[in-house]
Formats: sequence, C-alpha cells, structure tokens
Amino acid sequence: MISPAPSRARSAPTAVPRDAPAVLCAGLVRIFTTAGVEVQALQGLDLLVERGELVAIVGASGSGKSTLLNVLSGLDTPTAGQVEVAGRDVLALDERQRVDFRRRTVGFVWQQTGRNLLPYLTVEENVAVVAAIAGTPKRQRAGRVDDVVGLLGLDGIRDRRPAHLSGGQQQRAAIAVALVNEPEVLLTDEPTGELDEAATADVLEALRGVNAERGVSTVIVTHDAGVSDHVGRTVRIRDGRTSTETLRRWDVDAEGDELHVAEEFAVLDRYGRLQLPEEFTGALGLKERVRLGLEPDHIRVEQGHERSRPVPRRGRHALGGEEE
Amino acid sequence: MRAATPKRAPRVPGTARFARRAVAAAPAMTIALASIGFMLLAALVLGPALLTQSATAALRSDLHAAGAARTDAVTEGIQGVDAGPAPQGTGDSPADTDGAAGPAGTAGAPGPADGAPARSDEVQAVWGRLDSSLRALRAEQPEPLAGALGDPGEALVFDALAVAPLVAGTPLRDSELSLALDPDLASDVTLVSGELPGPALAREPVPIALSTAVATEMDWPVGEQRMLPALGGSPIIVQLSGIVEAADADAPVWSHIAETLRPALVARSDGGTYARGTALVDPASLERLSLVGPGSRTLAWFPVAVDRLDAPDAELLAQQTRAFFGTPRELAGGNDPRYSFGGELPALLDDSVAAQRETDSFVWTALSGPALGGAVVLGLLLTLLVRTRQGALRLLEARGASTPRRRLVLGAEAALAVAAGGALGAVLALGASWSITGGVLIAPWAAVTAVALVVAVGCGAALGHRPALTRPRPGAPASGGSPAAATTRLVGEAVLVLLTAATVLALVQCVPVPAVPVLAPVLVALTVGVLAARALPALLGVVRRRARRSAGAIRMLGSSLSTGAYSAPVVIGVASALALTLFSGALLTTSREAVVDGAVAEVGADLALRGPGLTADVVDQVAATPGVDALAAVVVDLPVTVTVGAGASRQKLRLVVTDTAALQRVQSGEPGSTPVPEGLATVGSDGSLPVVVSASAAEAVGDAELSLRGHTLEIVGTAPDRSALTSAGTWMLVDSAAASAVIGISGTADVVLADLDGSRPEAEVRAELRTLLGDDVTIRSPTAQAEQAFASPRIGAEQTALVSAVVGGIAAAAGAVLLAALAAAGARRRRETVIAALGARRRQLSALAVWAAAPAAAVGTAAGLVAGLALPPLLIPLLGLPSLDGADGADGNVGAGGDAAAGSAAAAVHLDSVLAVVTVAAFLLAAAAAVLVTAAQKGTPR
Repeated sequence: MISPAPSRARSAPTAVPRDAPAVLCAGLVRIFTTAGVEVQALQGLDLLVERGELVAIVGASGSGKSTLLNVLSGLDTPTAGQVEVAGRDVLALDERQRVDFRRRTVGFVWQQTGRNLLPYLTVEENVAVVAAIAGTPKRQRAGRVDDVVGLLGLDGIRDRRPAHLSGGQQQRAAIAVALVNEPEVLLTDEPTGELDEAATADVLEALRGVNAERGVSTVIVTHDAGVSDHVGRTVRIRDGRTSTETLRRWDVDAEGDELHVAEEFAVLDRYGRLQLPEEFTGALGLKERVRLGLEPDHIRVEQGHERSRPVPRRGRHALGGEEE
Repeated sequence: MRAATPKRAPRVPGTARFARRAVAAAPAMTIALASIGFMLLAALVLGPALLTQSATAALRSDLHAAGAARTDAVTEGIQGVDAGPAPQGTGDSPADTDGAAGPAGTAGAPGPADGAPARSDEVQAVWGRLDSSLRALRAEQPEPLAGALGDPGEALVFDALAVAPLVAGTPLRDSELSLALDPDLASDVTLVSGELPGPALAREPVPIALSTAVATEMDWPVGEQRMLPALGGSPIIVQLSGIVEAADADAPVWSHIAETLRPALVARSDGGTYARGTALVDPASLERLSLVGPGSRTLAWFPVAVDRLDAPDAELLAQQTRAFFGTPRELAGGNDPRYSFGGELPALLDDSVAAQRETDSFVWTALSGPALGGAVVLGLLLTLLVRTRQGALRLLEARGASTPRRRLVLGAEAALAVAAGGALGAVLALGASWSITGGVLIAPWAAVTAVALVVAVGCGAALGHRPALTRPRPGAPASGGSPAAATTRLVGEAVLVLLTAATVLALVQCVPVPAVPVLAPVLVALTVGVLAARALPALLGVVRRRARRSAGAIRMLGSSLSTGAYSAPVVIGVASALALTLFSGALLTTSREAVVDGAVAEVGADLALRGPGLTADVVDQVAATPGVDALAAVVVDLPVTVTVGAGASRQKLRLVVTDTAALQRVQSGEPGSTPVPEGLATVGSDGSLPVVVSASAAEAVGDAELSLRGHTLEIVGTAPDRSALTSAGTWMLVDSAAASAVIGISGTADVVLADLDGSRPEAEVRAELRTLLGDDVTIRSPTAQAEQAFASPRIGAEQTALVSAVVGGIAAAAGAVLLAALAAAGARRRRETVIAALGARRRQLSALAVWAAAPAAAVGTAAGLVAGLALPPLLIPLLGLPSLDGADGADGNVGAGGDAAAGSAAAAVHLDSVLAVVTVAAFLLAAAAAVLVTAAQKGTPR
C-alpha cells in the first residue's frame, strides 16, 4: 500500500477551496493565428471534472483535445473563457504561482517518452529531480520517490536510463515522475499513443490504479476510443466543443451477472447548444433546418420541411445508450 | 498495486551534476563553446604578451637605429672640472655610502662606484666628485628613468686646433686635432702600438694617443711630435705616444668624444679636404692641459640602456626625461653653476610611441574582422546550445522548475564551458608566453575582456532560453510571429547605423575621440553586413518571382528556403569579416607604399651620395659609372641671410644650388620630387633671381620682397620642407646657372643624386661607387631605406595581424555558414523527408540544401567585397595615421610637382590586387566548401 502523503514543504500561495472541482472549463476559446490565418482550436468548450474522477477526453485529430490539455497545464493561454484546475484560476496565476501550480497542482504525462523523461538520468533520478525541483526536503524525498516507484512497479528498473526501458516502462516511469509531488490533477496526453496493446493496457491500468489508490483526479486525452473501457467517464470533443459524454458503471442483471453499463449523453452547453450524434441525424435525414418542439418531458427535433411526428423512445437511453 | 519498498535514499543530481549529465548526453555545443573559450583566452593571454614584446623590440630597434649620440642624456659645461675634495653624501658611490674616503693616498677623492671601471687614484682625484654627483643624480630619478639611465660618463674635450709641424716647412696632411680627457681611458681602449699617454709634465711634450684611422689619415707615426698653436699662449707640443683601438667601438663614449675612432674629412673651399680628429691624453693631467686654451667643453652623459627599456614605459619615460631635461642641476665636481641635460630621447620616444600606436591600431582593425565573425559564430553556438537543451528545459519547466532556475542551469553550463576551455587556453598560453617572450603579461583589459566574455556567454545562453509561456495575456490571440523580436532587431540596427554615422562624422570633423580609427571600419563593415542581411529577403524575392515562372521545381523550392532565421547572422558574419580583411589588406598595402614613397622622397633619387671629396672630377667619374643615367649635384648648401622687405628685417635661410634641369631629369616621376617651375633657371630681365623656397621659408618671409646680396629674389614655387637636397628645413633653391651672380660656386658637391638606367642591379652600382668613393661617402638608396624600415618588428606584427585576420575571418565565415546549416538541420531533415517522399533524387536534395545555404553566403561575400573595396578610399584618408600623412618633417611623403601647401600631402590609398584577389578567393573557397559540406547527402540514395 502507499503510505500517506507527507505534508507539503511549502503551503500553496493562495487558499484553494477543497471542494472545488478538479477541472472546470467554461466557454473556453483558443484561436491560433499563423501567417494571418486564424484557426479556432477551441470554440467555447465547457468541461467539468470532479475531484477523484478518472476521465478520458476523446476526439479526432484537430478536435482541440491537446490544446485543451495545454491550457489546463498552464502551458498555453486561451483566447477567452474560464479555466480552473483544482480550484485555481489558471489565467490569474502570476509567474511564481504558475511555477507552484506546475510543481504541486498538476502532473503531466505526454505521448512522447522523450518529453517525459530526461534521457541522461535514471528512472530514480528522473523522479527525484522533480521532487527536488519542488523543494521537497531531503528527508521526505526518499520516501516519496520510493513511494511512487513502488506504486508504479518500477523497483527493478529504477537504476536504468530511459533508453533501456520498454515503451510501457517509460510511460509508467513518466507517471511516477508526474506523481512524485502529489499533484491534485494528473493530465495525460495520449499516454498510450506509441504503445502496443499489452503495454497500453499496462499503462492504463497503472493510471486507474493511481486514481483509485491516491484519489488523484486524472484526465486522459486520447484519440483511442478503447481507452474508454478503462475510465469512468468519457468526454468526446468535436470541433473544439464537448459533444457527448459517456458514463460507465457496473450493474447486475436479472441473473445476478455483473454488467458493464455505458450511457452516452449529449452535452448541453451553457448557451443551450447541443451536438446531435451523426448516426441520429443521418438516420432521420436531419440537416440544415430542423424543427424543435417542447413536449411536457422532452424536446422534439424533426426535419424542418416535414410536419411533426412522434419520436421513437428508447427506454432509459437518453440518446442511444446500450447494454453490454 | 505493488507495494513500495524503500531501498535507499534516491540520488538527486545537483545543478552541476545535472549539467554534467546533460553535457555528456549532447556534448557537441558545449565542447564548441569550450573551444571558443580556449582560443579566445589563449589569444587574450598570448596576444598582449606578443604585442608588448613586439612593441618593445620595435622601441629598442628605433632607439638603436637613432644611435647613442641622439638617445643619450648629455650635458656640457664650459668652465671645466673641479678636482677638489669629494662632497659627502651626494651619491651612491662607495665613498658616499660608507662614508669612507677614496682609495689610499688620495685624500678626499671618492673611489670608483659600483659597476664603474677601476680608475687610478690620480684619475679618481680629478673625476671622482663629478662621477659621484652624476650617480647621485641618477639615483634621485624615478623609475623607469633611473633604470633607463646607464652608468654616467664624463670627458673634457678641447676645441680643435690646426696641427702644425714642429719644424716649419715640413709637409703635413692638413689636419685639426682636439685633445680629449677620458677618465676611463685605460679601459676604453686597447693599445695597438707604443704606449698609453702618460702624465703631461711641465716643459715636456704632451703625450697623446690616436686611433689607427686618425693616425693613418694624419700620417702621424708613433713618437713624432707636432705643434698645436694655443690661443694667447705658447704653442703646445704633442707627441704621439701610442696608437689605440676602441675596446668597444659601440661604447657611448665614442659618440660623445667625436672623431676619435675615425677622422672627419672636411671639405675646403678650394675643393680639397682636411682631416679632423681627436687625440686622447692622460685624464689625470687636467691642470697641465688647461694651458691648451680656454676653449674646452666638459661633457657628462648618461647612456640610455636601450635594451632595458620596455614599450609600456615609453610614454612615462618620455615625460620623466622631459622633466629631467627641463631642470638645470648643480653637479659637484663641475665648475659650471648649473648643468642642463638634453638629448633627443623624448622626441624619439614620442615618435616610437606614435608609430606603435599606428601599428596597434592596424592590428586591432585587422583583428576586428575575425572578432566580428567570431561573435556571430559564438551567437550561433549559443543558439544551438539553447536548442539542444530546449527539450530538457521544457520538461523541467512543466515539472515546476522556475525560469531563473532553468536559465541558471543553461547559463552556468555555457559560462563554465567557456571558462573551462578558457582556463586551459590561458594556462597553455601562459606557458607559451613564458617560452616565447621570457615572461608573462596579463593585461588588465584582457582580464576584463575574459571575465566579460564568460559573463556575456552565460547571460546570452540564459536569456536565449524562452519559457514555453512567458506571460499569459487573457484575450490576446497568439500569433506565429514575434513582433517584440522584430522591434528589438530594428532598434538595434537603428542604433548601429546612428553609431556608425556618428563615428564617421567624428572622423570627418577630426574630433579626437579615442578608438574611433579602429571602431570606424568595424562599425561601417557591421552596418554594411546588417544592411545586406536586410536586403537579402528582397533580393531573394526577385529570384523567387523569377523562379516561379521557370520550370524547375528545385529552383522554385530553393528560392523559398533561403530566408531562414539563420541567414542574417551568416550574411553579417561573412560580410563584415571579408570587408574588414580587405580593408586591413588595403591599409597595410597603403602603409607600406607610404614607407617606400617616403624612402624615395627622403633619398631623392635612385641613389644619393653625400660626404667629403665629391669634387667635380669625382662627380664626373660617378656619372661615367655604368648603370648611372643622370646626376644632379648640389654644389652649394650654405647658410645665408636674406633681406626681407625694405631692409626692415633679415631671415636666415639655407641656400641650395643645383642644376635644376638635371634635378628634374633625375627626379622625374619620383614621389617627393622637388618642384622645378618654368623659369627657375632664368634670371629675370630686371636681374631678379628666381627661387623655390621651402614651406617654412615661405611662411617666414611672407609676401615681402626678398633680396640677397643686392639681388632681388623672386619666389616662383614652394616645396615641402623635407628635401633630399639639404638637411635644413628652411631653405631656398637656386639654379646653378643663375646662382653664380650671388655666390661663388666651387666644383665640389655636397650631395649628388643619381638616376640609374636599370641596366645593372642597384647593388652592383653601389658596390662600384663604394670602391670609387671610399667609406667616407655615404651612399643611400630608397630600396635600402625601405628595407631598413621593413626590418622593424612593427612590420612583422602587422603582417602577422593581417595573416591572422585573413585566416580568422575565413574560419569565422565558414563557421557561420556551417553552424547556420546545423541550426537549420532539423527543418532541413523534415523538408527532405517530405520532398524525398515526393520523388526527389539525392542530387535534387543536395541542390535544395545548396539553395538553402548558398544565397546568404553569396550575398555576404558580395556585400563584404563591395564594402572591402569601398571602405579603404573612403576611410583611410580620414584615419589620420601618421605614416600616411606627409606632414611637415614627417616621413617625407610629399606631393609631387607644383606648389605644395604647407609641406604635407596625404598618401594615396593602395589596394594590392593580388592580396585582394587571394583574400576574396579564400573566402569564396571556404564559403563554398562550407555550403557543400552542408549539402552533402547521407543515408539511402535515391
């Protein structure tokens, strides 16, 4: 088991409410301008991750998920919107607070192992140097390093340099590095993007274990829909906005067997915008103008050129959930 | 989950260890920085030592060339030597220091001082007090003057008297003889025959010693007595007791007791000569010799220990010497109330310091080219170092390492690399300095430069690292460009242009701002490089527009690749290094040409003969010598007094008479030739005598009417003061045909200028003339004069600096090209991957690489070439270098023909075409090689 986290070497510069969500994004906009051409990577994205949650953010290339992670980690600045991570307003941080934010509030794991580990340091040194950067007292440092090294199963390879590790080992070492300062939120960007199937499962299990054991809020950004199987909630991003969310839980059927139940929800943003799944709009031929109708307990959407007709209801599925 | 099992305390690399690991992982840029530090520190340690050694050697060479007669501090008295008791406590002689009297038997006579040759008691009794007071005077002087003054010398020399035979009517060589008392006679000479002169006794002939040359010239055998007619008294009979030779012919004593070792042959008005020499007598016989007459000079001198002088002390020494010379002093042992020392040492030191400043200025100008190129290389190295460490620093940034901490790591690495390399270079340079110069010199400015370099490199590397997010600006869209960097560059360039303009203006206005002569070419070259870098995109735009209309894909692609971020440093580095190297070459060539022209002007012809015995017959023989084409003989060089205005004032001038038509033939086309206006040889109808006067003479007489011996003088031209015709500065030239009206002209020439026809080597002609004229006539030639000047250590230093500038500039230019290519290697690899995937062949990829690197190198070379050719004629005349200005009394680089203004004219700027072509070719070759290296394709061929 993991020993309790030692107290912080230094208190955070500003008081943070303990019940604040792990991640709160509201109306997040990020526009890149290159050679006079504007590209909107985020278009009013809303996102809420509660403390202790393990969330996957899934989207196709160019959907804005990596931009979102950079904003959450304080490595990029949004053009507009609000961002809070563990109760800290990321946009309001000054330089010192930003450094402290990176040391203690968030931890990162990137896809490229070269970005996670210094190639000329061993696993143990990579972990220890990050603890040292954060100013962790020497007495506590050894414990913390052993703690995360053990947590990620790196004891046998702690003296190896990254070049002598497999891809999975490297990413587990990266997770250890990200965790050594006991962040409140762990942000990972395609952590399994360069791994084979077995290593992917190994790393995702490690992340889930960390989340479960440490209660560290974890956000996994990926384009791999298979990651969804390892997380409790999957947020899908499309065109710089959250489009759907899928919640997963275990249930018991009539025969007493455990079932993994996933429900997908459309996300209604604070402006009332809603993205309809393509399979729905395609099945009904919805395009361009649609008719909306307010029913006593739901909203009706129908083709704009036809009269209204009953919408088939699908039991307890809001928009198309299915049983597994 | 796996349980954590603590094993041991984790090893956390500290900053130093962390940096060491980082260096070990990617050491190339760190090693390159260390190498730069090695070279720079080695240069900073060795350079000043070598420059100082060269300057010291040049100073000593200058003073040795001047000779002891000009360098020594000399004083004269006319009241003789007081041979009374020695004063107490006046010097550093043993007699003064230990309070004891002189050697036994000589009460009151101080003994010889330390280091002084032993003197007999009798000699010491006469000269001891004077010697002691001189040594005391030297001991009072501050350093470095006290150390520069050697052991004093004293002598008493009587005026020369005509030598008469003891028996009237006995034929004798016409001669005059001076008697001299040298207290160190016994040690200064060696006896050839006879014996050294003993004491002069009453009613006995005075024994004398003559040198072999004097005795031979005067035809005076040992034992023969001759008579000197003493003024107002009985004649003195002297007897040659011995013939001697100098123990050291270069000893200062022979410069001050003149005509002892060699007689002077003096021309008589009848065309013949007489010999004048000095005889040495017993130095203890002063009292007896006072009968010779009242005309005597007591000489005292401090020889300057030239080989103990160091260049850094020269200016201070000149100041101290001037102060020493300007203060009359009492000297015990001398009968004069005050003695004033004098000599040319301060002026010689000033000249040497000025020449050294010019050399230093040239060296710095020459080395500024590689320095600018080196700065560009250093900047590129720092850029590459920052990029190499960027990944790790970004990771540390994301993990919470603060910006100052990351910059500290990077800056410390760069600074330590330079410092470590520099320390090694400095140690090796110290050893080299010790072995080469025999000493070690750490110049304060070099130490400051070294520290500044380390700090600048550290700060440059630290500031080169940019955080991933410098400062969040909510609501501000990020853009791909960096307006701040562009603005900074624009402001920097504007400051550079303004600074350059101010520097050039200061030169034009002759504002005495230190270091401007060195800074001006550097700043102008840098400005040209910056402007060329600015022009590069526009030039390539033209190429690109044309390329887009052409069918070649590579040309179209390549023209779009050439304006990368690293093009500007390449253009600036190559352009400024080449421009300054060409400028340095032109400066050196111009300086050398000025030396040659100065030598020609000083000698006045292919050969100049000066000395006794240049009778009309001898001149005819010279003219008949094979290889001699034409002669011009100065038949009169005498002081005259001209009447200025209506008899209101008089002015002393030197009258110089020669056949001006012959002079014109001899000096035709030579630099510094004396102007011969039309009508100079024709007496005016009113009997007026046409003359050419020197600039100083013209200034002295103004516009007033001049006359000489009743003949009106008409000034038809002016010439620079310095002339090959006379050693005087205030003179007037009259044609020999016209001069007969005012002065009698003998057939003997003072100076003969000879024009050679080139049929024989000059050395052969000189050798033949030497045989004809003997050793008493000096034969000078511009070639020999220039060779003597070129033998100066300063020339060696300038040549070394120029070679270093060429080599260093080439290395810097090639380095800039290579490093820029290295910096762009990542983008190039990505580009080539894409283009290769589209089907490009290896040759096409190489062509693209050449396109990426060549334009910047080509534009830099072109800009450097233009600037290097344009700068010399624009800047060199403004630099005010002493050797290039034919200032009055300077190196004689005078204007040719016509009226010369105040005796000065600037030297023409010369550009050695061979040197320029070689320099440009070397730069092109290096740049081409560097570009080709960058274009070399590795990996799978296509």
